[in-house]
Amino acid sequence: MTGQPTHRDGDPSLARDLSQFVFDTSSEAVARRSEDLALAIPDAALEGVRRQLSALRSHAEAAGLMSPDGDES
Amino acid sequence: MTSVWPSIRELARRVRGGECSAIDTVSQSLQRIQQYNDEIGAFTRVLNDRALRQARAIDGLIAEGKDPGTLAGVPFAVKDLIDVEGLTTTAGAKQRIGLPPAKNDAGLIERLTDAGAILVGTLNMDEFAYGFSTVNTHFGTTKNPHDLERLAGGSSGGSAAAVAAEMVPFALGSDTNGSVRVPASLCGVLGVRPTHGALPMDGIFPFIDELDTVGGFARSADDARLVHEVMQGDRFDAPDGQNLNVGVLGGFFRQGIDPAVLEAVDRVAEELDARPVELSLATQARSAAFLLTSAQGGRRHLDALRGDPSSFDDGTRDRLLAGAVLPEGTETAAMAAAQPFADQLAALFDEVDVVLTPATPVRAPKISEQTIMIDGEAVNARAHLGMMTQPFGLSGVPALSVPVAQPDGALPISVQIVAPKGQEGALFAVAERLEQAGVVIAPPARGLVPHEMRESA
Repeated sequence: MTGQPTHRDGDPSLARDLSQFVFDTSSEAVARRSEDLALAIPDAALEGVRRQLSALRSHAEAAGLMSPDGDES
Repeated sequence: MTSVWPSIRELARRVRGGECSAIDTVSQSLQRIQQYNDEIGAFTRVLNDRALRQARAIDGLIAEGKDPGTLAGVPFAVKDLIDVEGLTTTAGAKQRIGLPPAKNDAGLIERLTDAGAILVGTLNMDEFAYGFSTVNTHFGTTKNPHDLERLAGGSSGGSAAAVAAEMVPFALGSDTNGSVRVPASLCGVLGVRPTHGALPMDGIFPFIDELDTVGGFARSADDARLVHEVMQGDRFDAPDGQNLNVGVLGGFFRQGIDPAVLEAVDRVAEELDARPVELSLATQARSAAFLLTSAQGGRRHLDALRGDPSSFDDGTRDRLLAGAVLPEGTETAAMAAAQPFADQLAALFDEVDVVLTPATPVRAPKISEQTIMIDGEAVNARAHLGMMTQPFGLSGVPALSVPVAQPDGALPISVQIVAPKGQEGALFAVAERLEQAGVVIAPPARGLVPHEMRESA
């Protein structure tokens, strides 16, 4: 063993029910999630993370996980 | 301009037949690396002792009348996320330097070396394979051998550049969202993304389980096929490239693409008598892959993000942090969101054997350029280089990036060929047909100046 991460089997064809999923990246949701994960976002990363989350919101919309007006689905 | 290397099949034949020795082939590779690597930045470590030791062993087998294998004496190199016995697998990350070395070669390296191939080094990459540029704060930027001011692409940029500059006849990289096909496209070599799950992944540093694959870079379809067959441990049923039904994708796959790239796609489509086809859900599939990558990447590196976020390149840190704070369930939702595209693609493959798209939306951007134009809009260059490759990842299908013949001195342009799962043979058959027609060719890298000439200038 090299002590490094290993692959697990992925399942790319698995379809699951999306009805319960909420894609919420509001600042409150991000703050809650960070707290749950015991993850502090350093000041130096704040702007970059904000930019990334904005791009991810667009992708969530394009993937059909969020309606175009911003409501999470 | 003559190629440095003959075909892999011919090189191995010469070694097996005693026309040249494995020591000769390895020495030629090591000399080429010494001449050009400080300019290109493809290799992170060169394994002189190991390579020469293995070359002597192969020459010894031949002297005893034994057959060292299909790839006898053929030098190759691997992306630095593939375990090499005795070396720390860095995955392009400063934070991994100093960790214990790998105790064994990855399974794929074992298969290649069992067939007589000789490992000469490890290759540069984006940190943790998260990027399309191979601009790495710690290990440096890999430059495009066709124009040193331009990106080699990523994340397997070192692998593509090493083959484009003919430092090795073939190399291995990994492809999660396009990390073989994108740099292969920008560097003008062939790059294989195998069917997901077709090759063993032991000893490969993971990024995204549902998307990760390992594939080869080479300079011809036959070279790529041979390397892939050795890795898969089986020969492909080779369909007749003349009788395949080919589709060329429209819609998303033509929107905002550089006209010169579209011209190359059309040229390939015409040669293959391809008919226009559509996949309306490509944008959704690309975005789903983007979200899965962010969420799983963040989760995978959570401990390091908690402990010392400054140990990452800034760009990687920001992407991983954003992924980590996405809502719980994003990975599952993203995979489900990609399924309709996979169904659509499977249905399309009932009608055609392979489909064509651009491999990248543009030629290699300058390293200094932050944006490229897509659909009249300036967008982040590095994030969008994979927009043609990303949609196919979660469908698990194989794909091949092939360089389309260009006027002398022009930067490479490549086309992506996509086949149903398990049909890599169709990819190679189409590429061989295009090579025979003179439409696909890996161009020589121009303008490389040997180390000693730069020193004396």
